[in-house]
Amino acid sequence: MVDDQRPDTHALARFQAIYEAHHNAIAAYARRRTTELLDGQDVVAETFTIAWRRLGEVPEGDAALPWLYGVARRVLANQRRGDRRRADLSTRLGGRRAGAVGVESEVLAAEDRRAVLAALSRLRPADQELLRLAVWEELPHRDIALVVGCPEASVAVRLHRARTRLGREIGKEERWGGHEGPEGPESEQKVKGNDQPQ
Amino acid sequence: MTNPSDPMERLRAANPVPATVAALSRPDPLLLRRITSGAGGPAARPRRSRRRAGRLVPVLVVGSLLGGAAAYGLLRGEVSKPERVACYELADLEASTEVAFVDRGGPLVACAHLWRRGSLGEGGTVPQLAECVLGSGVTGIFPTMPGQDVCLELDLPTVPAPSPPPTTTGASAVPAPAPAQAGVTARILSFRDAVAVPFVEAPCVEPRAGAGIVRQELDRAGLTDWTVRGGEGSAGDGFTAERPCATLSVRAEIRQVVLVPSPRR
Repeated sequence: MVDDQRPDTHALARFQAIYEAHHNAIAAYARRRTTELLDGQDVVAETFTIAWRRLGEVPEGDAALPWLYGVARRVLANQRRGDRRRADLSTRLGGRRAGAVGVESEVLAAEDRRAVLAALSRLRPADQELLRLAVWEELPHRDIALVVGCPEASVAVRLHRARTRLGREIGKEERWGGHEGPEGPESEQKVKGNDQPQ
Repeated sequence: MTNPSDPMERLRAANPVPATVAALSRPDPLLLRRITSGAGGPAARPRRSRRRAGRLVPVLVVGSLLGGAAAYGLLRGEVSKPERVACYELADLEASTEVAFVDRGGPLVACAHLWRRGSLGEGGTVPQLAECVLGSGVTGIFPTMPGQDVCLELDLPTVPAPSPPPTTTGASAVPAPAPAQAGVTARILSFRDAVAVPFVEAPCVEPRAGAGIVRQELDRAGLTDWTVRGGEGSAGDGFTAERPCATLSVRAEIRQVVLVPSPRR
């Protein structure tokens, strides 16, 4: 008999089950937050590599997915774009531009998406992630709390505030293309109780 | 009935990867094998055992793929995505990372450039760098010190076919690059640069036209044994009125380019 430190078949089977059950969710999570499909694939690979190495820490059952989301979130946070010239080219490959030629309804829909995503990008990163987890990943508050590391009781309040901020930024985007407007911050006008620019 | 003025509903409509598109993905069995093959993995518990029959299964499956995929390397230890490199700031897999595209100078040169301009570290000093292969098939470049074997410490394979080092040396000796592997890398890079242009310039590339462009550029780059998936108009390829445009996913490890549905820009 020989000392053997290779992982046993139970660990392999458990990891395979986790991988097959949650690969699509993690892949979609990564693709929604990266500008290139290849970047998303890297995030998936690194996330599951970490999960394999730390298999003993992966929770059982339904709690595994929020744990994986948390890992993917940290993997994404640790990655930054390098070569700016290549990044610009690659971003445009999967990015969005206004003025596309096509059916009017499709053009309007594309412009609406652009405005919403531009508004989202101006929120604090924590607010962005809360909204994405709730709306795109459709996670319940309990799981959102696990992913971002906050008390479950605070998720509803934070989401409500983030939603309000998003609505405000969408309004700015639609009126002023994301800027404050010709007369200064709208918030100052509201504080003054003034509906008309000075 | 949804409220079109509700910011949450509008955010839902702006989801770049709706659930219907996400469902088209399939767990990649090759990635699973890459992650779990070889030594390492979950904290191993020393035990006395004979070689178990169950352990042979993933090894045999990987072995059956060797003939068709050896040139691009599917096993742990092969760089399957030579066009990018992950430059780590510390010898730690969870450290801050800069992802760079690799040009003719190779991955070490790409990362040394980032260190020199201060994107990594401080002061523009380029440390001694080591090349390892990450689980994703991308080259990982880590700072190292004389006598240190970073790849071994991180339980990562060293790069078997290195790029020419500029002013740095790897922690472990590496053999000269095989001409065939270097040629394949150059062709993949050439294909990537050429195929990006028409997809960037046009607001929307129709899937059939996109498949034709990809095929043409693959042939020009000498990647004639690569396949193109999607865009034939067949049911299930995911192209709809809402997502009529094609973007690309290049999967060098299986010599395939996938056309992925995308909304108009």
